[in-house]
Amino acid sequence: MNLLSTTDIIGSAGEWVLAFGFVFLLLWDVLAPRGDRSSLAYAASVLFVLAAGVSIVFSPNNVYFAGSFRVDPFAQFLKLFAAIAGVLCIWMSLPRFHNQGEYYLLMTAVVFGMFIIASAHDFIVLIVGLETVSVPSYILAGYYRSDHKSGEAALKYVLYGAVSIGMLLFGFSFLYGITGETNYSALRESLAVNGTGYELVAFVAMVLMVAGFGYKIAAVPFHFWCPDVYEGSPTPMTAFFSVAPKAAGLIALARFLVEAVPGVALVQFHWDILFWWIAVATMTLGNLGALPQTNLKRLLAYSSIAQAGYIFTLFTVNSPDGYSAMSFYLIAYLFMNLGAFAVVEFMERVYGSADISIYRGLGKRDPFLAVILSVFLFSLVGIPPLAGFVGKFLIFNALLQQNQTTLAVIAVLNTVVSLVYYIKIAREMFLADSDESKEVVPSHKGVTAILLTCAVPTFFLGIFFSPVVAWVNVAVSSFFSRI
Amino acid sequence: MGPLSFMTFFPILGAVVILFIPKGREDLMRWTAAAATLVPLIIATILLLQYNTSCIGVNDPKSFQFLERAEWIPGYNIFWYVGVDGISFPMVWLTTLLSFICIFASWGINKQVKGYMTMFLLLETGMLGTFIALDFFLFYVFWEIMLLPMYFLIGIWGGPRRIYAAIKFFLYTLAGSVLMLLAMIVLYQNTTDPVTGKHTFDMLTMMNQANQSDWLRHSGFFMGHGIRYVLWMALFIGFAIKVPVFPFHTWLPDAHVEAPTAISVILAGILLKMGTYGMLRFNFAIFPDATYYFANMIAILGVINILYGAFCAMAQTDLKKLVAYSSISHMGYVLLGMSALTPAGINGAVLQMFNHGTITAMLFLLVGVVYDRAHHREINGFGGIGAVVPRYMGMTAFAFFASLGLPGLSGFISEILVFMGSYQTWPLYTVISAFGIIITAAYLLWTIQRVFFGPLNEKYKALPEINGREMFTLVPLAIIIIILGIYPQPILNIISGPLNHLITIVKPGAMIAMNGF
Repeated sequence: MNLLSTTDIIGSAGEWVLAFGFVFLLLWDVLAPRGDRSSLAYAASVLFVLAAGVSIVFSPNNVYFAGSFRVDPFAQFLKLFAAIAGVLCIWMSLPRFHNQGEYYLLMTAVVFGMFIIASAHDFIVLIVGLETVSVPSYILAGYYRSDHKSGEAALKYVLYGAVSIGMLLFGFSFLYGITGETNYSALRESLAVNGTGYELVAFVAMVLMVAGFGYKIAAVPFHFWCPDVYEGSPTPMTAFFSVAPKAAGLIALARFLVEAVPGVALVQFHWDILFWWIAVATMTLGNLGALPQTNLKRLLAYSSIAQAGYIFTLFTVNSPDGYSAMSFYLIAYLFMNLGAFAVVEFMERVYGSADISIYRGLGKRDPFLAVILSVFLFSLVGIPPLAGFVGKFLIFNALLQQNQTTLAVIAVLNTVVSLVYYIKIAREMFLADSDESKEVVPSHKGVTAILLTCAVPTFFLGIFFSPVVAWVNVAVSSFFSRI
Repeated sequence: MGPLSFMTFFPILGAVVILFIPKGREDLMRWTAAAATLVPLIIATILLLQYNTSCIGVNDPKSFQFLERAEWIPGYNIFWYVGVDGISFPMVWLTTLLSFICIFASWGINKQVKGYMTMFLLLETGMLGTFIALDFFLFYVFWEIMLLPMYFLIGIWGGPRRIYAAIKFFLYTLAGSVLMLLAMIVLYQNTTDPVTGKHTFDMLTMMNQANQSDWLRHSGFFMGHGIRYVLWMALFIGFAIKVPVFPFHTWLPDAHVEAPTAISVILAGILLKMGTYGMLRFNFAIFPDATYYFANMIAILGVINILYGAFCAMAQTDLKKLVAYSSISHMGYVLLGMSALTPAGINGAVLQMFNHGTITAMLFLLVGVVYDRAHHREINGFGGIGAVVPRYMGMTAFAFFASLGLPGLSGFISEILVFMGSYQTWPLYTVISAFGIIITAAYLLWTIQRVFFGPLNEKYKALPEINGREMFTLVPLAIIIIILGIYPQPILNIISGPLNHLITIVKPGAMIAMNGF
């Protein structure tokens, strides 16, 4: 067998671009004299966009590398998603880390890992992708070497990561035991024939595997690392962790459920019940956990758990509409969550803290910043006409279509609970008696650009969402059509 | 762009202009806001003059007026679909009128005028959009859009406990509307547009049971009505929170007491009516069978609202809280009239929605007038000020008499219609709620006595008389109250056709003349 054919290279063109780009950036960082690395960061951003563009334009939809690597619009969706998230976070990091070239190298590695996850059509490839995302993430979480919180974050991240990947592999070994396959297509065919009689084994397998996926998604009860890691990591990294690996975990699980197991597996092995409870727990505990938080990074950490919970509900229905809703929600979430973090990052840089008291009276001190943060927060609540509302609407639509009424009701009630803590920030900014002694917030030209980049889609996707919905529908239908 | 869309978005245009007015030009902002609310009022009045009272509306798209329909989100068949009929049009006109008046009632606000006016204008757009929307999705978006400005208007410009009141208002209403969201999605998935064969959010298509899926029409428990009853309940609770109906009413006194005067006026004058408007538009028209089944429950809730609200009002020592509870009581008449499903009852109910909008607006404006001068609202803290401010006393007495249903003023007409209509269906409930009138008279007269008569409180010897701007906000409402008290026919002409038709939809076997009763 030809180990590396031309078609395989073309099929993974985006990954090659990233890999060579990584080497190039590495050499640049090592060879260039110490000093400013802003241009390296810009180069990395260009590289992300280029890689996503190349994989969308040049790689035809097919399977490559002996069926272990799949290119389809759904994979391209995640690749583009990873690239955009990467670019925005690099942009956000620039004021803080303009001298640290290795920081951007690590991010490039994470994005590379997400590209692999996006296309993984074989369990081994998936593990490679997950580890490629995880290992640089551990370093990034502990980036402030002298800060003990950052160190704690990195250690927690490593320990949880190691255990959960172990559980994922262990869980999969059961399925491997039943089928003897790691390739998704082969696994599906084999499981359809040999799965009968192994319902309990398959259930246990998913219980273990969901630990691995749930760790990346930060789903309850695999979320314990999340608030500490989010609080301890540098804020731009927190922003990145809250969006990109989560999306990768969600889409990896989606791919696994659609491609690696027969459609009936969800009901046959009672996985739907498992997902139902995880979704309910994730939404509810995420929201309840966020209620008492006064540190915005922690608050947004819990909020991101809850947001992942809303998306997680869609695994119980496992339908094309559900995955369309997931994709749309991820896009909306990307912009609204990164936007919120961009404000937090800026405020932290100026005032040295992410505590909610910093935001007191911000509505008067800097109306622009306060209003735009409110837009992101209300979008996270799901108030129309913002993107978050449309995302929730699509999720509820998908749930009700498959008669998951109880789950939908729990989800909407959670939305109401979430209002309490999101609006706590708006209250602090606009309603609380402001502290006049605090000076006017210094100018923030660079941040304004990021904020507008996030705010425009947050509005636009709330008002004219049909083109994007049509796009994700195409992506998802390709994902369901088996090659 | 048709007149309705223009009218709806004009306030936002004004808000954008205000955003660009530099600090320090507060008066310019106020006048801009006044202009931005005057234009919708003028448009609504022109439409009123052109209004064809023979058009029925309700569930017939052809007889809606000033219709506009444009594709918005094709993937989900969501349309920019607006129009008015006799149920919504009086509310639209009232919204434009009260919004205009409220800008003048907010003239004294000096804290962050730019933010206030922007939020207020955004609120007006939300209110108008809610009343004119004929697409459920559109309705929902407008319904939710109102929450944000309302939250900030109460929360920033309100009284001492404003933060608590604002979040309570927001939470209650959001809890109601998310249930509505789920009901909306289920309806969407079970309604098929006969022309396109796709699911639709078109409210008028939903109203035709032929377009509903079999599952929605007859499946589930309760002899095949279960699903409909559950959906009806979800919608009803959503609207009941807004009205507010008895167990969901606790947000209202807090919100009213803390809100600035103009916002109380809007809250009581328009937002409460959205609840009953939504019931008529959705519960009655989409689920007539369920409405018929639950009519008794609505009537009982109405009676509770009337009596409970009145008793609570009697116990208040805060003037504004008293008016707030009297609103709960008066909205009870609307529920009672609606539930009777008789022409007189339902016409009385909608007339009461309009009349209560004008009367309670006057009451809140008057409370605001005295609060601006005395800086408190304790009923027992005044005493004998009638001699100091005779003009203010005259206006207050007028509004109180209108509120307690003095013959010759508009409140009387709507209440008598409600009682006439409800007596045919619910004689017992009607007799019980008639006591509400007595209690209402008692607390209002007692309040007049405590505030205006008796020995003069020396502190208020020099209380300034009501000024020209305040009179300007009150007189138009007073004129409407008098006109509709003597000759309610103009508004009955508009509402009776659609409402009588609505009864024939809800009540099996009802044969009612299309106009008059």
